[in-house]
Amino acid sequence: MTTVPGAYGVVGLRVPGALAYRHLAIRLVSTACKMALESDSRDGPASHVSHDSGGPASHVSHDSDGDFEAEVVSAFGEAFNNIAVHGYDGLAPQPVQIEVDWDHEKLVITCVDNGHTFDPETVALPDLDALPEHGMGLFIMRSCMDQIDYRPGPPNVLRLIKLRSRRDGLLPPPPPSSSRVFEGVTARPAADDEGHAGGRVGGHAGGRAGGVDSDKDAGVDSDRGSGVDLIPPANESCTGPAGGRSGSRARIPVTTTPGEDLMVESSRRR
Amino acid sequence: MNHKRIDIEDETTLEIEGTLDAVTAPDLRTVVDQLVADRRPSVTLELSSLRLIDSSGVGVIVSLFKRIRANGGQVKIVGLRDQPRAIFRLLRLDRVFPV
Repeated sequence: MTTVPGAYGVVGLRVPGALAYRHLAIRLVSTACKMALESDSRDGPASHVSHDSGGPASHVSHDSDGDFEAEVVSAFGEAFNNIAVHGYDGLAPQPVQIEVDWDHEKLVITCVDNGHTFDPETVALPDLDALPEHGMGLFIMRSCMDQIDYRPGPPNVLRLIKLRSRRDGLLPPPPPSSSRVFEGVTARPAADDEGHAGGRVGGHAGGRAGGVDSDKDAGVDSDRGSGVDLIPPANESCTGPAGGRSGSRARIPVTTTPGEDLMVESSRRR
Repeated sequence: MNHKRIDIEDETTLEIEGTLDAVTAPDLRTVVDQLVADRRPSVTLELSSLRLIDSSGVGVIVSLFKRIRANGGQVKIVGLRDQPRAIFRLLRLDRVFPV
């Protein structure tokens, strides 16, 4: 990995894994994005490039620094929702450790929690034509980030990786078959599990009023998986590919010791 | 999140500002329930001051759309921009609500 002096930064936060702390956590991530972008303007030519290439419709447009932040915040918000609502469902309040690292190449968010693990294979991808009301969180995460890794715990380690410079489009291509991924999760059938009759966008075959299950009373997607690369089951350090489609690989040290206070620091190494 | 409902004859405008996410979506759901109960025939969401939305917030808006349509009404969205606009496009809701 090529390291550009002055480009590296890291901020972290440890908060209870509860929705009440969602806005605080998002503020951290938003601030980290701004700091990363500021480091570009301060340290040299921006490596972050504009993207509005008219790629696949499922891509969030990405044509400014503001979009970079919006995409990262969108993805992280869904991740935090899932940890707070599903990861710690029925458990005593416990912390989630959030760390954001960046350099000129990428920005990486690492979330460490001790909540319930999940099986990504059990999560169906949303059928967008059916106008789903739930189950879109992971789709948003994947669409907004270049790579997502998940290692079931304890502790569970989720990494959201965003490249600072992409060659084309937003989503990485399907990963090689040799890696453990869940791209192939069966899409939800036309009539989904909430009784929606499916139908094309513009129709109104759904019509079901308010009937939601207990999970969905919280208004949170019930997806904690599918389309997520599993982090290799290394026990202590969490390292892995971070280059997404670029093919470059970087080692990203992630402390996963349960209970350890990750980062109340903000460092900038120049 | 703050919201303001304005009814003028058959037209309802619902202004939403701030953040519509897993934290605030339950509040909006009660507003949606009331709009449906009132059988409002035309609802316009004015979202120019909506700063951030997540899938939970989108779910409430889609629910509003489905339920109002089921009652024979219509839902329009105006003023969508920035992150909320990108999320709507990502989820292909721009085919339902031109944005």
